[in-house]
Amino acid sequence: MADILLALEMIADPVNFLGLVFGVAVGIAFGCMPGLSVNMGLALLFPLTFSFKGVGGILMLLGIYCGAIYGGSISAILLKTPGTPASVATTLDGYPMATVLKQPGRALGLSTMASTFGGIFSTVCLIILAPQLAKVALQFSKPEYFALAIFGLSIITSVSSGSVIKGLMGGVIGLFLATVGIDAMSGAVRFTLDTTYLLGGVSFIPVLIGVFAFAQVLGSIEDYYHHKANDGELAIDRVIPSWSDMKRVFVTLLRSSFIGTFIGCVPGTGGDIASFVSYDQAKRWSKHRDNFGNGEPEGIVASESGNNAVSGGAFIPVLTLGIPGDGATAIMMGALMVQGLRPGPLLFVEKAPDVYAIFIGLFLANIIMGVMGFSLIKLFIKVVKVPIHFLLPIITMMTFVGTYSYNNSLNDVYLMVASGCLGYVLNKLGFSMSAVIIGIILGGMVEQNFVGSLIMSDGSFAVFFTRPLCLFFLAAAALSLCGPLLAKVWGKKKA
Amino acid sequence: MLNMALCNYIVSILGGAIGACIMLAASSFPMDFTENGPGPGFWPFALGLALLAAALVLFVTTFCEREILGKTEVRLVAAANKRVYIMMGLAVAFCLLISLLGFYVAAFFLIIAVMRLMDYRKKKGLIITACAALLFIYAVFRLLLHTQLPGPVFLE
Repeated sequence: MADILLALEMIADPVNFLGLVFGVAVGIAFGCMPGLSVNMGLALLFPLTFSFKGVGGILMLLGIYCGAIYGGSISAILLKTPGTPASVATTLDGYPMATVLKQPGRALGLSTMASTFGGIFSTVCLIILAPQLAKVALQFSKPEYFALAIFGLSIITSVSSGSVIKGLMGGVIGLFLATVGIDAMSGAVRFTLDTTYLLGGVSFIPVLIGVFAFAQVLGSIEDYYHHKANDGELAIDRVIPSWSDMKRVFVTLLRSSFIGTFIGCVPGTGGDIASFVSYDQAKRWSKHRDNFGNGEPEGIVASESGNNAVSGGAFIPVLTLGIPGDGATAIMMGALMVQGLRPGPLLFVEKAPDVYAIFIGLFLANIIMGVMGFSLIKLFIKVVKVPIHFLLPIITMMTFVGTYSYNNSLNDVYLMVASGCLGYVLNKLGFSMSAVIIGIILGGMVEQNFVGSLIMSDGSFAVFFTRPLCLFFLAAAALSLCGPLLAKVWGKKKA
Repeated sequence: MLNMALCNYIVSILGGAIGACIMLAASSFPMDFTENGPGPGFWPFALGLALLAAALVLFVTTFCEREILGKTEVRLVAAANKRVYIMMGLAVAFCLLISLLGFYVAAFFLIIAVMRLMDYRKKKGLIITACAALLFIYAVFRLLLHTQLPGPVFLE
């Protein structure tokens, strides 16, 4: 109870609370602008977290995370251009409702209500499930942590949409980058090229801003060449959902929120998968399935509650096991580590008030998101219309300033530009940047627990195959790695 | 026209070469098992080997699927990409100018250059956007967060 009171005290701090509100507003703005992603928003504002004390910065990032997933639905409904991949399914019914049925306010209202409900539902699940899972994880020793980290790395196959092998190559490069600097086990100085800059390792934040924000700026410049203007009908009627709509969508809302939370728990998935699965299930069970694709309220609600419910679910493996499920949660995990909060079961013992503050923060972020969605929707619609040739130069500057402000180092800026340019080219070649980032984040955990396990077993590799939990995670990792390959073989046989 | 098969061959050769370099660099560290576990070279050596193996698998799978991958276009030399490369050049130029002219002057030029790259030509709009963006950065980073951005070399 004392921990919860302490957490409430942290949230009630005006700076922290305003940071959360600011984060939600910025997140919605980022989400609703096509071309700006959740990851970009998180990466760009990451450096601001250093100026907050304690969990204040984390609360701001939580706000961005929740707001951006919801924000994607605004442009999906009004312009048929999803602001984030998670909102692609929302266009299927949101855009027809806004344009063919001429009810943009109804579509936006339903999406706001569904997003808020989905987010709150998944936060409640997080609050209930995370401490239980953390209790189990407390029994883990070094071999289990090593196996768990390998399982975390195996999700690279899921985040690599292009090629699994390229995803693995990216992951290995990330793991290698994590070895640069002073080795924590032996004290040896590795791969620093005789520079003092690399003694502390490859700086994570410049790489993060480079591959997620600067590379995206470069991608947006390329996209701008193809489509130069966003035009859309923006006349808005009432946004509060009617009672008849609420009755019609309630079951779908519950089902999709559950699906989204469950999918969020599985590392390597994300809002896009959750929204499509929820949409598919809603269509399968609906009495109005023929109306799907023509502005069906259940379609909008399924997609939006599904993708927003991912937010709470995705934090379960991050907080309890220290395993990020995708790029966004990898950034959040990085932010936690920068603030001295090492995600994992011990976090619940050593930093319980901070964990409760994160729970309450996520809960509040969803409520603030709903309030903003209903009251400030007309303002956010204006944001959708801001020309990209004004936005991109400013975002470019923010990548430079954000990187520099981390360490007041120009070397970080050079590293960011290099990572961004490389990230752009690698993206074009089908590499997943999330794989590289996950490799960097989990690199230290994998190596230290690998070495620690071998010390425990006097150099015997049997330690990884004789402990049940360790074996379970390694088997799950093998299954996750080989899954796409097996699916391919199975698909060919069926064909 | 660049296709994915060709790109994959190049990537696998480069990946293999990087893997081999990592193995070579790692072999300069002790790798033997002692009471303190494997030496500091063991893990990076294993990663280099894994990268080499993955590059080899990529090469072989690309060869097996060369017909399908040969039809997949990779846009790296189109007109839109040229703008991206100009943007990369501008970013590098900014990095060089920042230590010479200081952040604010270099940023002013960069914002205008990026807007012009995106075909925006109105002088008033260019200057107002650049000034507004710099004012915002000054207010947030200098006044609020107390970040000292690099000044021009002649003022230091």
